[in-house]
Amino acid sequence: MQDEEILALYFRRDEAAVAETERKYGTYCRQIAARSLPRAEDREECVSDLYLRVWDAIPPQKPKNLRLYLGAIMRNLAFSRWRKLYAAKRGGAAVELALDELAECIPASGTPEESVEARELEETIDRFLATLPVRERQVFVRRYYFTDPVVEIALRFDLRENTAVAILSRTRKKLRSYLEKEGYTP
Amino acid sequence: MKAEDLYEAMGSIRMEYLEESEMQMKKKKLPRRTLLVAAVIGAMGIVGAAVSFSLRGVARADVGVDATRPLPEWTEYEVEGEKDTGAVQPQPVSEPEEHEWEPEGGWQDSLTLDSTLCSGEVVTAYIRVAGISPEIAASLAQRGGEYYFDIGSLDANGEERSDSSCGVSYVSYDEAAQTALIRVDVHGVAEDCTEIRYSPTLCRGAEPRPVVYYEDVIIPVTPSSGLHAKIDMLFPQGDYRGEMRAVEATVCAGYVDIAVDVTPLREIADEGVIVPVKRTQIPHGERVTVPDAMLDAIHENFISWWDRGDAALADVQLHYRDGTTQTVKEDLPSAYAADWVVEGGLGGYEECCDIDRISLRYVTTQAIDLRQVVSITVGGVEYPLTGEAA
Repeated sequence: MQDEEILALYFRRDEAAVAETERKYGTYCRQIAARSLPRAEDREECVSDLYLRVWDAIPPQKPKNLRLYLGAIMRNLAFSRWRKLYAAKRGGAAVELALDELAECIPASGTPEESVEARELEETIDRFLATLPVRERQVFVRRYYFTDPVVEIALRFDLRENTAVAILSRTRKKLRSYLEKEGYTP
Repeated sequence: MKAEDLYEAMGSIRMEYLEESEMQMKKKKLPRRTLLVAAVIGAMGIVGAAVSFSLRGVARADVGVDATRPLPEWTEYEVEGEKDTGAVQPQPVSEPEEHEWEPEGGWQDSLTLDSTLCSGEVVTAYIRVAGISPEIAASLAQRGGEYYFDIGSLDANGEERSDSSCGVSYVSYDEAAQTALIRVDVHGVAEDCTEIRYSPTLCRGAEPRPVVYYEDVIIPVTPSSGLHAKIDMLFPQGDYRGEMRAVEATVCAGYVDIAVDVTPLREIADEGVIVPVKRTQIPHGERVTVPDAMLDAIHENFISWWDRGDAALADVQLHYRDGTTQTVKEDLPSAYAADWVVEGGLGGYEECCDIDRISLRYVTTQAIDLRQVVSITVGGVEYPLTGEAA
């Protein structure tokens, strides 16, 4: 079924909308959830939460890209769940590797306990991404938004794995420097 | 700050960055102008000629065009092997594109524009897709089959359009030429748009990436016209509170629009139901918390537009010069063809409570010959239509 038809079902408050979403995008959403949640039970609960949230949001929202829209909500639901369940005692999820890498971007003089205004940080990252060349931004977003493995990123953009690693390393350094300039260090 | 904070903040980056990274099929396009040049007609085999005629015939039948008396809004394009060269336009082609990346299997240069129906805000294009095996075609023909064409990318006059403004469907297949015919309906085409660049993708099941990527095909947007009538019809109230009054009808070659003034929900909802929504920042934008009562009221209001519109406009009829009459709703391709649209979109939860004008749009399967239409009946009253057919 086309996205347009699925959205029409949501707009008609027809519960078949959820079944059609699951049929078309269920696997995709579970793949995204799996980056943060190794246990199938956790993923299934997240998927249920996702459908509930989407049912409430559409209408009036009418996403231009249903696939990305679902993926974005799924990513954030799954990561919230990971934070709640596994942040203290890590559970072997793919996201943990990405987090280890991102730790390099934290300005040296900052402390882990230092509280950060979330909205401000989001805006800073948005501005930082705007400064990057397109290819670097694509690679960075694939790694730290979608949590794609490096090898998959290399395949996607026709890069050698070493090149992808180098791009990521360079971009992390840039982010660290950008955060420092933005006042994330005293 | 922790790494988790950074990762969480990444969750609210702009959608355009996600699209940029997700849609690896995005192409780097060279600055260029579209050139309308005559297609090179190669050696035409007998089979090829028969195939072309057959698929064109299907397209004409699908849209309801008579080959001997074509509509001004209907345009046919030269296709290799096509015998009928009476009124065809040269195949629109463009300079070669430079791609920034290559998908597995490469970019398939397999699309040929067959014909178009340009009708106000809606453009319908029939496109031939070569290289489709009988097995895939059988799957495409089956609703809910494993293979399907997805929207791919679309831009109108260089501006990328939203996916939801376009629908693509499989129409027919010619086994001898291994060529499928698809129909693309693009909605919301701006008045000044002169061409649409379009490329669908062929997808399989729930696989996250398409199995075939196609080079763009150019769809020229040709001039079209519409007929209008001021109307006045109050919809039956039923159990609903708000008033709905049809005020104008517009007839284009591909659809009928009935503009309806509606009472904004904010004016008819119980006191305290429509309230400012609570917004909290979360990764990926903001969380909007809407009270259940408000959500229910919004949904009920939307549904009322459908229910009342469908019921009240079930008998909308077009009257032709030869004395015949067509009931619009009997010519609808699917349950989704009749839709309400709001100029400028719905907005958010609060904005949609202030909508005071909607359009009930009936996109017909079969094209309407505006030269032959003289009047429209809405709510039992016949109104003469004015305006010039193309």
